[in-house]
Amino acid sequence: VRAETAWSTWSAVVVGGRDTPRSPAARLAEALRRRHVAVEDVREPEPDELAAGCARAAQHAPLRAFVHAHVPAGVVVPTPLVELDDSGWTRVVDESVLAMLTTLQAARRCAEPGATVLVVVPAVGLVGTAGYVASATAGEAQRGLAKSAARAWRSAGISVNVLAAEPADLAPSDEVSVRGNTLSPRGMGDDDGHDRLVDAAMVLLSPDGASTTGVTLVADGGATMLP
Amino acid sequence: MTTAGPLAGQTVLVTGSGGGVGRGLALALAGAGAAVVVAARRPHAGVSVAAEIEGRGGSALPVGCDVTDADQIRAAVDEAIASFGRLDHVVHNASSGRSSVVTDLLEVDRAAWHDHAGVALTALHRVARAAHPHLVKARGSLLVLTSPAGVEGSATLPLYATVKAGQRGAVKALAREWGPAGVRVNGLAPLAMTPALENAYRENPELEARLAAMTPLGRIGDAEQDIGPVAVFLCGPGARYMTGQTIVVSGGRFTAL
Repeated sequence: VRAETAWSTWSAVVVGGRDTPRSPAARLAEALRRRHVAVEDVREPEPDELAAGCARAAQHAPLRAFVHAHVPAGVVVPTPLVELDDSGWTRVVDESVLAMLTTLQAARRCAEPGATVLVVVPAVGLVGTAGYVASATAGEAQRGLAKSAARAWRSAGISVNVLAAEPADLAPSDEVSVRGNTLSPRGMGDDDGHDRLVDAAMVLLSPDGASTTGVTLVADGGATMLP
Repeated sequence: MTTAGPLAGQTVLVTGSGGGVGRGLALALAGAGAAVVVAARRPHAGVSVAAEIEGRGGSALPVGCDVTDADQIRAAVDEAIASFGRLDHVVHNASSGRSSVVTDLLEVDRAAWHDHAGVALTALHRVARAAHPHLVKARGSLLVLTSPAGVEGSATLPLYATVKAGQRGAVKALAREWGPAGVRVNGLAPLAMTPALENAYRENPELEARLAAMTPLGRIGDAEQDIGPVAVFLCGPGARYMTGQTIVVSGGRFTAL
């Protein structure tokens, strides 16, 4: 009961567009709304859009959560490295990190102490997956950036955490081929209908989790078990 | 080529080997018998290191190579093949000249990102692609010099930590991708003396003792003597069943991996 009450007293910005209701950003925004959080959607992680989203959210309630679930095109498409040209590499690695950086900076500028930033990254970087070298590079770079932000901003009361998700959960689609040896074949959670990405995100965004920072939660149904 | 040592008869290309850790690695690899392609952004620095290797009886080829230039990377690989007939290992050591510049994450801009990523990540992609057919032919290896900062993050060097973390992701995924072809891919995360750190010591004489006190073995590693042997091991036959690993060589300073 205490947690439910706390959820309803703050607002959130969810970054990542809403191209489809099944996109990670859309599913996370919906889950927050079910918990009575006032959510503002930001389609693209651009400074002006983020600032406007922050301002709108703050009109409803104190801005306490930022979710970065922006997944650039190419992140979930397996391509052998030797077939990936410079533009393909840049589209995945540079765009992923720069988009996250923009969100982080916007969040830091308008966040209140006690706010949480959650970044959704591809889990393929945790143990590596053939065909996903660029995505693994981007995902691990984003985790490094999140840890750095967590260290830099903990004194300001801002926590930064990471949710590592399978490609199938980041872009559920028949087009996502499962070529790697660490990918779970199912997307959008397990057979009981739970969305594992959303479930794990709510743990990290929970008001009870505000003091947790710099961690990565792996939401892949147990496919990856880190040491 | 030197005929003795675990890497005798093999060729190793080391990026960023005109000084600092790269120089130490080049000297150690040459000492293990490898012919070393000393790829350096500043050609005179590469010539100097190559001369140092040859002065010790080793074999080396200096190559001017700014790793942010794809053509120069391809040329360095081509020169390695033209000179030695094979390329067994590539050590991607080059990093941005701004790696040790303290930065506020809020002030980071796109130019700073590209400065770091261009050398550490984009160049890694290009180096890997250029060397791939030769590494497959030799059933060789790619070794990436990453950092403990990539494991733990850094409040003061956020972009450095970010690109170094990214390199670990590349190592793990590429190890899986290239393993079936017999090519190993590993990472090495050192805590080592660098020219930048030496400068910092000069400006702040108390820094050396403070850093040493934070390290269980009580000192900062020497690039050739402490880090180099691990690079030799990772390239050599003793590591033939190791791939996708990041080895932290930090005197015990970092234990969180």
